[in-house]
Amino acid sequence: MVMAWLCACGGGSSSSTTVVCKDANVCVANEVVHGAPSGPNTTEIVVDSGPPGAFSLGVTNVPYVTVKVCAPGSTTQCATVDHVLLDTGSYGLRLLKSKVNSIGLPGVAVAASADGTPAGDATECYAFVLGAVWGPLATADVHIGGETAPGTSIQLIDDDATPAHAVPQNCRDQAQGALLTSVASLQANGILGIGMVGVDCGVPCLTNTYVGSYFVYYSCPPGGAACMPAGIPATSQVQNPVARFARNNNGTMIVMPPLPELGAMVAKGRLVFGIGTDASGNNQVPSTATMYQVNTNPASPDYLYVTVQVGARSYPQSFIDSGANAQFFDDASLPRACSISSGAQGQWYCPAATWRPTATLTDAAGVSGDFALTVANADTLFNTGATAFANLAGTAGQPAQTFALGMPFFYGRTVFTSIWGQQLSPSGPWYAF
Amino acid sequence: MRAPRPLPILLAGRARIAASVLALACAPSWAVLGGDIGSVQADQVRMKATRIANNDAQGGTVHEIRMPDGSSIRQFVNSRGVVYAVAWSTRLKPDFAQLLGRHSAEFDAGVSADLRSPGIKRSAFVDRDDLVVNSAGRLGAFVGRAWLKSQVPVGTRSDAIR
Repeated sequence: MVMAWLCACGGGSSSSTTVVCKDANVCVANEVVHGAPSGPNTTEIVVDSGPPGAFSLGVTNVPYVTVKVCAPGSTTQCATVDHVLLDTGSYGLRLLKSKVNSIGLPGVAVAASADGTPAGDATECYAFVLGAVWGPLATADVHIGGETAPGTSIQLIDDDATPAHAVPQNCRDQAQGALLTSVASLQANGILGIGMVGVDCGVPCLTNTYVGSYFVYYSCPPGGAACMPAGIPATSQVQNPVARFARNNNGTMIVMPPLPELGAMVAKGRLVFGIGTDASGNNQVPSTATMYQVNTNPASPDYLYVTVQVGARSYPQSFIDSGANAQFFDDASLPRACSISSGAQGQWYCPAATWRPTATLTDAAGVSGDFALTVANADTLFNTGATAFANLAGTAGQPAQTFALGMPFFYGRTVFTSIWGQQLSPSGPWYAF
Repeated sequence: MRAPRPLPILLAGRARIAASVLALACAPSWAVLGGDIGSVQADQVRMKATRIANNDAQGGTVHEIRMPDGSSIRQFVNSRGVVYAVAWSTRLKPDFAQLLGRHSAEFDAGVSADLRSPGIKRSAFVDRDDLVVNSAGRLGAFVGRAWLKSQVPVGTRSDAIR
């Protein structure tokens, strides 16, 4: 049982910590909070055990925010949805349809066209590396903190037992057996993608060709005829809501508290909209931060990536991603024989002693900076029963060239993610921390 | 006023192909891990792509297929003419049935129970029997590579397959 005694510790003007102990040897922070900055361009981030319905699933390192959506122009036809996964690795708001069904958001229509697309409801199969979500597009006013993205295309993840439009086989194939259709499979009530691009697909989804790839957008005719792959104008595709704010629309800042070695039951931080846009200065990039431009050469295999180096190993396809719940990279010298996973080749790393190398991040222009990487024993961490860990790591597959700097990277840091094409100097997609 | 927002992919739109869905449905088997060099040429036609072939150090060739949006697929062909590896860097998730052929089912089946746990995933991998697959990234920038251990020329470094 996690109970026994509590103590208030730590502090500073904006951080606080309470501790809970299983026994004399295992104490875990109960709640670690970084409460600043505040203001209308901010909202709370909470890392906890997830929404009801996901509690039994061992939710770990998933950052959540609360989002309100309203029918366009309405102040009463609204739904507030908590535990929406905050994801810097995707673009656009996706909510379980059942959470907003009652407010009747208008759909997005696809016109019939000469390329064979039938008229119908715009519907999307949005893919992750593993897993995908299926459901119709809708138009909503999206309110987060004090900011509003008016008339914005979002996706409603169809969580009906019988989806309004049957899931195409191409979408099931794209999901690779992991179609995410519930609170339990998403570990969230939705996904808020606030990454470095303003629209979720762009040019490849303007036509229905999808050559060599799975299909993304579909037109689903009324009356139950099969959904057909479709091109969707960029303005109708699912939008990064941040880019549609009237102000504070050029990126985001995420600030999370540092965590103790054994993690925390709950960690709270702040999501701040805009970079260098706030009159009070609450989203200024500090002079101590380094800015890392991502590769924007579409012909490069490392397009939209930066490079991480750890010792002799280089990972040229690396990214900072709040939607990854651990540091995912390949290092053959780290043992993967954890009791939490299935055998000696599991997902997590379980070193006998905590590994603390210095890692280097290098951007597309050659700018580089060091950061501390910490990899603790995953079994030790999971045994605490906590949900937030700054030192959890797993493999990305051997020998992967990617390093996903996941949620652990955000603890104890202020991380900026700019949005490509928005007004910002220097322009272009970059991270800063 | 907000500055106009460019699309994330800066190249001009890809060529329109009439009735492409039907064409795809009728397409012969193409592009495949474990296939022969003919499948590489079929790919290029199918994707309206440009192809660049280079010799590698082990007596094989690397065929790069580049699509108009910048997506690229590299196919590594050994001296016996077999596609022993593929590497991709694509805007959209590549159709693994087309890219990996019959090995795509092995990829799906082999993704470990760990990765089948709930939540979104930004990397997936398989290493079993003859097949190695790494798949990573996010929409707009999917990356990965796959190879058949029995077909990789002796002396090939895994980091050369990219």
